[in-house]
Amino acid sequence: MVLSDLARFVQFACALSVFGLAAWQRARLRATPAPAGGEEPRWLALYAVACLLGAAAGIGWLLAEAQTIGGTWTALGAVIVSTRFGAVGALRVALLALAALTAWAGRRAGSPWGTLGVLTGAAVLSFVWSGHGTAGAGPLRGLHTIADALHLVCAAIWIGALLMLSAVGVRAVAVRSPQSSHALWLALSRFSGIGPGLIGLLAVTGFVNSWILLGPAPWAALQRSLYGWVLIAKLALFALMLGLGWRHRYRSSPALARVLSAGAGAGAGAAQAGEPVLDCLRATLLIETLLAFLVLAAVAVLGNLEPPASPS
Amino acid sequence: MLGGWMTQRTRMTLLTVTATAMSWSTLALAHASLRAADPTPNATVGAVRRIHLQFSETIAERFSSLRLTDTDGNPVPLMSLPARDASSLDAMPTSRLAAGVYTVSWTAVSTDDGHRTSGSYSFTVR
Repeated sequence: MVLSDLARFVQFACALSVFGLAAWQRARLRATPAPAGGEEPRWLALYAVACLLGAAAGIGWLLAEAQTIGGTWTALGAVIVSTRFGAVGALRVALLALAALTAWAGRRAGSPWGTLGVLTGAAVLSFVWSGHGTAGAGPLRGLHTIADALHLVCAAIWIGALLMLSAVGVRAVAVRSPQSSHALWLALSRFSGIGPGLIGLLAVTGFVNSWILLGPAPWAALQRSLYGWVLIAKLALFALMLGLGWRHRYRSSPALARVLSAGAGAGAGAAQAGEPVLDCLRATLLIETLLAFLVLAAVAVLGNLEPPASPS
Repeated sequence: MLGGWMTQRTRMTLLTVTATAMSWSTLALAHASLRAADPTPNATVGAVRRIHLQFSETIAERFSSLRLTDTDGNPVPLMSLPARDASSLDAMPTSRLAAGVYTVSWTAVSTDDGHRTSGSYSFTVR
């Protein structure tokens, strides 16, 4: 079970991260002081490795499932052919492998963000059909499927944004130039435009999913099941992320803007005064990114637990 | 060039095919639980020609099973039968069951999420 959870987590982390980052790149929301031509090949190499890692984790997960339900890893073929989760899992492996190839080849060909987004986006959506995403009966099942798909896409975009912001923040601290600080402020401002909408959608779709999986008495169900306690942990991590996001939007970003305004033409003194703001922002962005991956770990564990609404 | 090999039309086609392929119409309640059984739990019956288990969702028949044991816990030989639907398991005893208490033990693997559930119940043959 632990290996299965780990393999699920790696798949989640790789697929959601690359899709989220590719979505941002595609939408031209990336802010970097370096020329795009110099950075893109390195990013694409990283994405290729991440997709390959996700594909490998997918194979590992299928082998673990074959061992668990078939008694031997050689039941892999039967798992893929005779179960839906097996077929979807195999498709996900193929999508991530293709995405890795696309990213790697794109280092020379350039700008494969659309193709990469489609392949990794399909991989992200595949999680809906290989877990509890299709739980529910009748119209409820359709609602759950849509909510789960939206939840995953929003989570991926948020994670992609955090990774991008963290990278820009780390660069801003390393370089400590007005240009890199401005790039960070610009990236934060652009994310703040869609951040509230993303978080709102995450909250609504998360509520719908929990209501369907926990049943008509959600609070009682939370307390009497391991599924419930892991879900509580996930919600607590989400709340911490919200707190940091609030801080970034209403404290850190305005403080950085003030530093940039004061620093324009004011020389080294103003730049030094802005260093604590940059250091703090880098730290909180990295912490929020770490929290996001802890949320994914909780999701990976939840996928292997029985929701309380399941009839016994 | 592989990086830009996919045209807009190809991307949309891939998305549509993927969504369609994944839109399998299955009734899922997260885990396969026993909804109905024949003979019913704790029933007293005259003869058993078929054991039928109905689950809450589609099961992977290849990895699911049912066993029958007698009062002393000895396994009773069963012959698998074609399941009535994708959510059921069916079998029949290879010989007439003598009077006594029998226990049906089952294992079901959900085809949706691969989770395995199991259970058992008893019935009496008079």
